[in-house]
Amino acid sequence: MSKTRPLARMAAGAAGLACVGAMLAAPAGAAVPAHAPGHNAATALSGNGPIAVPTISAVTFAGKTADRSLLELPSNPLVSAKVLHSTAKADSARSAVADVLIKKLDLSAHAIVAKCSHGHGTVDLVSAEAHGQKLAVSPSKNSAIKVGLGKLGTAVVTLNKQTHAPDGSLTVTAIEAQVPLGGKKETIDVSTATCAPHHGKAPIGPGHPGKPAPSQPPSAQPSQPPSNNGQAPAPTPVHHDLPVTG
Amino acid sequence: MDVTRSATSVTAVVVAAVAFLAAGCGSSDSPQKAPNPKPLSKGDQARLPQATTYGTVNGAPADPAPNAAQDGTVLHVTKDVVVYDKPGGKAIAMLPAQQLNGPTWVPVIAKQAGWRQVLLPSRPNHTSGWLAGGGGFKEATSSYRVAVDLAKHKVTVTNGGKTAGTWTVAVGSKKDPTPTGRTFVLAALAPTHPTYSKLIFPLGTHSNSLDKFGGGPGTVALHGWPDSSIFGHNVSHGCVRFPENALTTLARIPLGSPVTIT
Repeated sequence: MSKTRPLARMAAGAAGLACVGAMLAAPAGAAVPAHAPGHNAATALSGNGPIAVPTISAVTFAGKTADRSLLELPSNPLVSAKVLHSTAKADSARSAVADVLIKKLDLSAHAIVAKCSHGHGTVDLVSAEAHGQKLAVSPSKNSAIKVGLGKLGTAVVTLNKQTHAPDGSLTVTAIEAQVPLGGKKETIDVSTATCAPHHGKAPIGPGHPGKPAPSQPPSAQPSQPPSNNGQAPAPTPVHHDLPVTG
Repeated sequence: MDVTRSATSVTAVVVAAVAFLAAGCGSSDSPQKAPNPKPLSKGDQARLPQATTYGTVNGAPADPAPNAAQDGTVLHVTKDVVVYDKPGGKAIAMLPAQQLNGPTWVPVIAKQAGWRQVLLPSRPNHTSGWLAGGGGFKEATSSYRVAVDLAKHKVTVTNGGKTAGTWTVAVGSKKDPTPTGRTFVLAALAPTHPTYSKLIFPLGTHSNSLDKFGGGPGTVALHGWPDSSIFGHNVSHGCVRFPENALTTLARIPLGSPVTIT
């Protein structure tokens, strides 16, 4: 853990400053990518939590195009899906899943696609809806919707989740669903793609201050819903790590 | 939630004016014609520093009233926009549409003929910049205020003038004091691996004694703390530490909401 004071204020022996107070964990980036850093990779579906959801069609580019498909997801209580396909190439990664249904959230889609190329990520949702709400074909980055599940709690569905790893690689997840399950949480990722930054330069992300890589789209839409009657809304917290002064 | 995938940044050409919500801001709009922003190529825009918590913007005009109240007018920046040192003046930075993976909301401290002067989240503290009217942001109002009284170790959050919560807190130590003056709520973060707080609310201000801390740029934040023995004391490295039960109220505060630290 390091903290830096202006040089003029450094006293002799200050190099051995003990880090007291807020001992922050070293930032791991907004989220740890599921794939090896610096490699283009894609995963059609994965899960993490009390219910075993298999990782399907996970591929990584390692010198030649990697491609994997599965016609139908093995039966599990949370999610059903067909034609799960991932491709990882030298300059891009793509993952697509068809006929997705997460019954608990009343979330369905004809197709869910994530693409990542040269540090730029895009998501396509075809005929997608969640809890009666139609989802945009090209949702804003890191937009989130909450689905109330009554006594079971609230599920959070993040669309077009984009995070940067410390090495600058971008991971795009078309849909991330966090489902409360008996006090615990199940996270399901549908269509994830990871790619290296454009021309090797890291785009802006946690711990990487500076100018954005040219390929990074400049616009970003809120995870905070639009204002209501001119009133600024309460924010939706975003998963992100920033070492603050504690 | 629709978003265009066009990679076009805001150009310097003034487009048709956007109808802003009426909101007083201390100084009413001047009746004179708005000076046009100076044209800026995309290459020039790319060379400007980013007005984020990580960045430093040189030449940004100082906040003319760093201890004044702010009326709650906030801008939601929807496209990366150029920041100028004055209406029709020199471009000094880009204010991106994202801060810390979330949306950019900044408080408005003045208006002039369609231009908006906003507080910036970058260093140095208490700096501002002007945004040209014509697109790239939407105006709204926050009814929340956060008042931090360092001497009393007390924070009061109000909503529409009514107290939403008040807490005894811990603040910066003598060596690393919490910076005073007006700032704003920059972001609402849920750490990937929470340690001392499930939620962290970085502000648009930085430590004056620490250029960096823990690998970060020395951003000061509001956050929870699990050990109640510290409240009422000057023990942090600049952040304001709250009892954990404050997080529910803090989480309701819109981004861009004014925070005054005295």
